[in-house]
Amino acid sequence: MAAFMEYLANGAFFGALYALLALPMFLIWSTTDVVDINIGGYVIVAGVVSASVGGVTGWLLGVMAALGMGAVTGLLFLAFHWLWDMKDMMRIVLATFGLLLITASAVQALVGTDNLYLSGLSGSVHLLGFRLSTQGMFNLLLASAFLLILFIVLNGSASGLRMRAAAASAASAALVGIAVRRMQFMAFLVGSGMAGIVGILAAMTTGVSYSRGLQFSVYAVTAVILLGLRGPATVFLGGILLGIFEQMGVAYLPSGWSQLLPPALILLVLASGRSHTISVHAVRA
Amino acid sequence: MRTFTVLGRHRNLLAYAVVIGIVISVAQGRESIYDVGVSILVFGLMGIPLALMYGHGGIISLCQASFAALGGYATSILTVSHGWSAWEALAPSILVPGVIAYLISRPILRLPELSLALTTIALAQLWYGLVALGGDRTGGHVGLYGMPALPFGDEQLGGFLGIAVLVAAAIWAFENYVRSARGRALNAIRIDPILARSVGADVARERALVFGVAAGVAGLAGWYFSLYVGFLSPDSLSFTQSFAVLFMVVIGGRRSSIGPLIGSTVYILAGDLLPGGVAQGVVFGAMLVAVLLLLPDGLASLGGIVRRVRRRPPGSGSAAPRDPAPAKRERAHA
Amino acid sequence: MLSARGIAVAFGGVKALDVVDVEVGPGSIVGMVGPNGAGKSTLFNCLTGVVSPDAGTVELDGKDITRWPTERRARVGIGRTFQTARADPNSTVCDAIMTGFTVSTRQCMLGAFLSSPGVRAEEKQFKARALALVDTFDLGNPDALVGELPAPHRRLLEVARTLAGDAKYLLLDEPAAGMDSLDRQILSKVLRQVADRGIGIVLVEHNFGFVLSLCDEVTVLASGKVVAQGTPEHIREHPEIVRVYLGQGTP
Ligand SMILES: Nc1ncnc2c1ncn2[C@@H]1O[C@H](COP(=O)(O)OP(=O)(O)OP(=O)(O)O)[C@@H](O)[C@H]1O
Ligand SMILES: [Mg+2]
Repeated sequence: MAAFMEYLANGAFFGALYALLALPMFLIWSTTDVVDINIGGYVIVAGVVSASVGGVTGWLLGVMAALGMGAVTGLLFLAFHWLWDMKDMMRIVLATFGLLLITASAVQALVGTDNLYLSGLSGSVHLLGFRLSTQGMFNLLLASAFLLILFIVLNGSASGLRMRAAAASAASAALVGIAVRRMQFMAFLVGSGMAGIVGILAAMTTGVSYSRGLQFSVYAVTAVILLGLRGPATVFLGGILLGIFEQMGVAYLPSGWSQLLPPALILLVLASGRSHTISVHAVRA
Repeated sequence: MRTFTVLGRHRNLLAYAVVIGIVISVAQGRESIYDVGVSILVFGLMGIPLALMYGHGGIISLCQASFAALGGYATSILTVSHGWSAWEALAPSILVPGVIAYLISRPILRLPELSLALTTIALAQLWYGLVALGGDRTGGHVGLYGMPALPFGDEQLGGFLGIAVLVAAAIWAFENYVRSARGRALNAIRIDPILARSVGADVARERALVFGVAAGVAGLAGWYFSLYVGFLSPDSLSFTQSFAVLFMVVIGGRRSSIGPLIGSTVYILAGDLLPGGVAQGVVFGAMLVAVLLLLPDGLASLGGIVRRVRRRPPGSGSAAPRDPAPAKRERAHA
Repeated sequence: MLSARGIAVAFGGVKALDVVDVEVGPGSIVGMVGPNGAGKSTLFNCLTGVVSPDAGTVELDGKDITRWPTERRARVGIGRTFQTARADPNSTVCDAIMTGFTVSTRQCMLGAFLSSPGVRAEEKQFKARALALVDTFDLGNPDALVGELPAPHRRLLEVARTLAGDAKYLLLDEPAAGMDSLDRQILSKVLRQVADRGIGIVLVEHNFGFVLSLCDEVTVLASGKVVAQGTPEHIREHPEIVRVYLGQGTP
């Protein structure tokens, strides 16, 4: 039982990173209709930059690097809309795939293939008889704080309301005078910043290497669709759940089988007919 | 202009045949050239049905290589463990992936494009994991070897010609299909499912059939691949290759029968010429972004664009046809 | 006889249709008029199965087809156009019309891949019929791209595609919107001929004059309710209609 509880806690701690990554994935997805596969790219870039530079300067540079890349994705998004009457959003999604490919290769060229670490919080805390890693708890706390901030911003501030309006229906938002394209660009910017923070936390927790970009993106997508594309809290919970599933799989499934868990989850969720939670906008005849 | 009409629907096939002829005469029996050619054509054979499925049917798939692997494993297991001949294994290698794809397609093809892509990624991962866990049956991570040789004669040329003919058949069938009522229905489904249904298309069935056929053709490619290489492991045809196939289809042209071949040529040749994975990642990534942004129908659409620009005299831009009067009245008086 | 009885549809709080009855018999043209948001397109969606009504039944020659999927209704002879032209702007005019043959094709998948003689013969016949339709509607070059057509011609194209399907009943959603008088003449001439062949037509149209001159019967909808129903003569006299439409001189 104690072991189970520890796996549970560990799962939640890992899940905190997926949850914190699910937030920007959700933000970008709902405002722009694009699943930004490059989101894993922001993570690894921020991770390796912060780990190579180190210290507070490293954190700042890491987030700034991620922001820069988010701006690039945002500009690419705008270019698509500027050049074409975009209905086929899959094209943009595939393009972000291309961006991730470039990002990962560039990271590999600059810092090599090693897993880079950033010194974070060490040690563990004994609580109610369980040993909990300090860094893990910190990750969970920080992620929760971001959920709270996002919640307040989306529901309370004027720009948050505008972003939500743009997400609900770009066309109607444009009609009431919201600069939809600017909102969408902002979503990429804000999203990449948050993903950058995930990168720094990941560098402190498990280390970051060039090859993990796609994995982060897939996990973020899985977290978002696990409970449906309903709102920040839901996708956040999806991320935590995903982390717990993953830890439980590693702990209790025979070796090799645990890697089947995420794809099996995706298949289950998508094929179970809850797909309507995926498409943001209903089709109108 | 005239020649294009004379060649009709199969001008792509003719162009392809000419290129194959040139390759054979240039290769002069050199093994390395045939090897490269076979790689290009095997990827092409996986890509052509994907072009039909994605470019015309709007069904995106990131598990085309997994279906090829399914065909390859069917071939390998039947030939190695059960003593079947290469020809005997042909039908199962097509039918196993084809039927499996058809059966699983009903629930997943209802999904919007994006979720479908995710689902196919998940399928590919699941299949990869299952093969790796398959133990003696699938050879686990190590893989299977000891398959019989390709039944196209001993010569390198025979092997190359074998896949060249299969690809030719795929191009021919592709061109036929897109000009049939079924092909138009498939396109209508991509553009607008509601319209498609209102003209009587059974959206679910039409898409499931195409998905199944694409998987079957991929299985055929897997049959060829496993016999040509004589070895098959989970990594031979994995998610990386599935992504590569989609990459080729997008780069070359998702609506064209030879687009996938253009794409696979670019992919294989650039992969051979570029130094190391880093340069490849940057170049392929940049190519993908650039083509998606500037040439949605890929390199194959360049020819059409050039033709259209030449045909249209300068100045008669898109503004002219907007005005309802001229075209119509001219016709009325003519 | 294609009929809808007691149809009710609500989208959230909006009652798009509030118990509506309409019917169209073979060879007659029923006009459907009403302000924006009256529920005309929603009624078409119910008749074709794109929207399933909250209440009421749809019947075709006495058969209850309320629960049939759209494609099955298409196959028993219900054809339609959409208010916003839906043809692929990148296909040719001829191909776009030929999409309409989907409902009657006998091509099997294998035959289509192999281009069997049967498929080739059928394609030839489809092509000839499509070209004839291009001519009927005076659409110009059959190899032009749909996206290059002016909007009114795109609407004619939609009607042509629907005619290609050999429907027994045609539901046309504002086919004449934005047309000049010449296009309108072509349209009304063709629709008359089609009706004379025994095909029933429901025509949604904002232009009252056009409807009154062409239709055998007119239904006026407003806010999801039938305001008036009857022959053009009857409608012309109807006090409500005269006040709302004719009186204010709506074009
Ligand atoms: N899919 C839908 N979801 C929500 N509301 C809808 C939907 N379709 C129609 N409505 C609403 O139902 C009402 C009727 O719409 P409908 O399109 O049938 O009107 P209409 O008579 O065709 O109008 P118009 O002349 O503008 O075409 C409107 O209030 C519309 O906003
Ligand atoms: Mg309408």
